[in-house]
Amino acid sequence: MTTYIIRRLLESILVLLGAVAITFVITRATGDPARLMLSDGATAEQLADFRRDFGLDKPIPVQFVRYINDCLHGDLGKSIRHGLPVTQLIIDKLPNTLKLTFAAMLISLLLSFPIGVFVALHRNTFADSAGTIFALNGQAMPSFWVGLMLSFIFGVKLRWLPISGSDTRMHLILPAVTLGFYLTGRLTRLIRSSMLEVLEKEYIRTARSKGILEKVVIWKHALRNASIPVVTYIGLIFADLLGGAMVIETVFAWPGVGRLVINAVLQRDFPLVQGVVLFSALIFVIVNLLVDILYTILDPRITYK
Amino acid sequence: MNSSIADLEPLIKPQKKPIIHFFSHMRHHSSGVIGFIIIVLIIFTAIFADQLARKPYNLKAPKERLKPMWFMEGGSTEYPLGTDSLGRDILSRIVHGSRISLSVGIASVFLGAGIGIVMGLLAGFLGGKADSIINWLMNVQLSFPYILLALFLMAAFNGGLVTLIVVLAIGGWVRYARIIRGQVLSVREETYVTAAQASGIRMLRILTKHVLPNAFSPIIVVASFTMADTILSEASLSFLGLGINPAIPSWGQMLADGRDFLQAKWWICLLPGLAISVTVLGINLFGDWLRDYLDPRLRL
Repeated sequence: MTTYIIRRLLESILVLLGAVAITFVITRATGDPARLMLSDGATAEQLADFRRDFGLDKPIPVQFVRYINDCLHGDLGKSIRHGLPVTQLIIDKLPNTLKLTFAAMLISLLLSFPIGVFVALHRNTFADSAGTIFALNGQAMPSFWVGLMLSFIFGVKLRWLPISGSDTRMHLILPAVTLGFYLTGRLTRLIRSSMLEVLEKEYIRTARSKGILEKVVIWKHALRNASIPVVTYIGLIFADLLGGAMVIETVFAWPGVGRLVINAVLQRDFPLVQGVVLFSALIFVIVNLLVDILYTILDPRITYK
Repeated sequence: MNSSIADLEPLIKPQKKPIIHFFSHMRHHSSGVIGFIIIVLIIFTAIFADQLARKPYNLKAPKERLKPMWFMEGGSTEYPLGTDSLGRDILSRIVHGSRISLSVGIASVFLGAGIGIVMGLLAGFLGGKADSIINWLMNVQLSFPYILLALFLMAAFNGGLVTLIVVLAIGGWVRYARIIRGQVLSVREETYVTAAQASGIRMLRILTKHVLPNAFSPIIVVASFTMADTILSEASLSFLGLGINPAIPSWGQMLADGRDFLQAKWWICLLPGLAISVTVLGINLFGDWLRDYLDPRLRL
């Protein structure tokens, strides 16, 4: 297990190195990064100062090594618009994005597991069709549109919930439900198909023939095994979920990394955009490492050698 | 002998033509039928947008701005779905928006599939370092939110239609590459491939004759789901202000425009969102059925 984790950590470092390389290449491939990062009206002197400050007057390989070295020391540069270190800006906003992402995941798990299991147990009935339509709609609706419609209904018309900001816990409900809805559709379908597959296995038949209570067979024996693909899937789509959170943050003025980065993109604040890309890659590799460890808890037969 | 074969002939069930088999299978699956009808309607709307739209999509009528739908108070049949903040006909813009969604979606799906197939073939057949590098590239791409990469690229390369198509294609290539790589790896060890190689048949011929035809079904199914995702991504980018030229009617852009008027003029946001949802739902329904039709064992 330890060897496996070390191997996965090394792989993760390679992935992170790739993310660093990609952000580096994109900013360099588009021409002069100084022109890209400064506004169009920058003078020749300002451009020269900028190049010197950021080491852009050095050869490309030297710049790359310096960039990696800075990243390794947690120095992701200074935000052009905010004038503050990128790492500090991200660390300030990251908890809000993670709070939104995990709240959405919780809502989604609480909804998709019962619905997915229920429709799998009532295959080819009206409930199955209704569950499938619900799930398909969840996948088809753009999350930012769902967010706008929910804020119109529950915020503007009914006045039950606040539609922007993050002052109270109530502010979290609409953004989390919106993001959760996006994930629920996908998870419900996955749980349904995974349960259907597991329910036909020999060990389920054996458990039933031994007279074990049906609810124990379903919720303990079947669901535990049906959860493995769900865990894999959550790990795989975690990056997408983080991306979804970023879009939803702009709808609800939620002060997270998403709003920060989208404003940074619109204002061409590239050091900040690069920093967010690297941070999200870091979160992704950590989550996937945790997912691998979680496998062994869900299915003790899985061992890593 | 001949006469006995002739006697048997009427008993041999004639095989249906593929197209007839396609539709007769679909007939028994409501999701396939509904998805197919939605897709045909959207394609029809996109092709005949100029004829279906009653007004030019960019015609601004300042006196008619923010008009409601025809059945609401103050609405008129001249603008059945109302007008936006610049007085443009929402119906015309939705009709023309189908063109943008479909053409951007189709172009980027083709490009993404092309890149993915080539990368998958290279990874699978060359193996070794090439495989490791392509695998690493796939893992790197999956490690950060696609929408973030897309925003980054759109901003760095100053947007535009071609950039948008390339950016959306980049979002999909990994899926195809994985399928093709897997297919190549499974076929590479088959005896008939070894025999073909031994008899001097060129690699390219083996790839086109044995690998690609076997991967056809999963590629078509993945393409249908990728198309749906691409339409959603295009809408998201337009909504965030990094799509194509705002003058061109894109459903995501329309939603972004209507956002400021959500409190009083909710239909400006509702209608383009419905158009996106129905289109994506249709493609997903059809894709679901297509997967069952082409290969029910596929877990995509």
